[in-house]
Amino acid sequence: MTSLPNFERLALAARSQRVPQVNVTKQVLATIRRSGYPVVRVDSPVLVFAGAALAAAALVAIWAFPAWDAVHDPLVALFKPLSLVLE
Amino acid sequence: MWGRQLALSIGYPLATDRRSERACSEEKADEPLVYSIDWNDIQGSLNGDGQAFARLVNRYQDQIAAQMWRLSRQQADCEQLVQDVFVEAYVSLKKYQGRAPFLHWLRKIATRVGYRYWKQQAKQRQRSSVPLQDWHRATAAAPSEQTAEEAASLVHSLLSRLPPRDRLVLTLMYLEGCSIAEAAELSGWSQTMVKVQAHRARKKLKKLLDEANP
Repeated sequence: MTSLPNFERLALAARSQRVPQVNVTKQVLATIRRSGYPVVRVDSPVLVFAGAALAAAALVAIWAFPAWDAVHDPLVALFKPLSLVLE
Repeated sequence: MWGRQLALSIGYPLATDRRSERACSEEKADEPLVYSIDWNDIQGSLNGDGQAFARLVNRYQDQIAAQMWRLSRQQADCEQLVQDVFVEAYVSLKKYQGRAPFLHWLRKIATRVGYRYWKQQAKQRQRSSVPLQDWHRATAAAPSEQTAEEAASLVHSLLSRLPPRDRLVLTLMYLEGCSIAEAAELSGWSQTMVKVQAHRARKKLKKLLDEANP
């Protein structure tokens, strides 16, 4: 008999081996608590990103509106004296 | 997407449905994508409910222990590996999208953890102490004379003499009873890769056995 079929026969027999009882629930929870792995909610990344984007947009708006009022168009400034003369 | 997966989920496994020694070949083809009881506990775990994750560990630790036992055959190592699998599952739980039953996802992680364990063992040059002569004595015996434990011990000792990649593919195919497709899914390799690796591993195994039994 060749060696590989023997191996296959033994492997098939080995599939029904008994498995020792294992209970690692407490250890798993203790490891998780000890390591302090962060629990991230499913929608947390989206909310965090949305919040950051909103805060950035608000900052830009606060800076932009007064700046927009202060801007002088050079073309308008050029024709302003002329418009006074024409009036 | 979440709604679709939840809609596809049905019921939950009965207590009698727990197959602690279930291998690839015994898995049902018509399994739902994700059991609703699992889905609820996954959502609970993601929302910080430690007891929800404890329920998941309780539900699946027998199946994962059976897989890790086939890889390690040492009680202490097996327990540590099962623990590692669930800790790794917890860390990457948000990546689980419900495209396959939760147990399949856990088995993938378990395969990865087991492969890593073998690589560490290979680095430390730890091998099973069963000599090859015992192997030939055992294979010469009639099948009825061997217990499943003896057979498993011999198969394990022989596979431990192979490099981790060869060991992985042969363990999945012969001990777990996986098809090429299932072995590919668990290992993360392509089906072609699994076929090539299995062919090479069988050749190495045959050479090893022939050398010891001239």
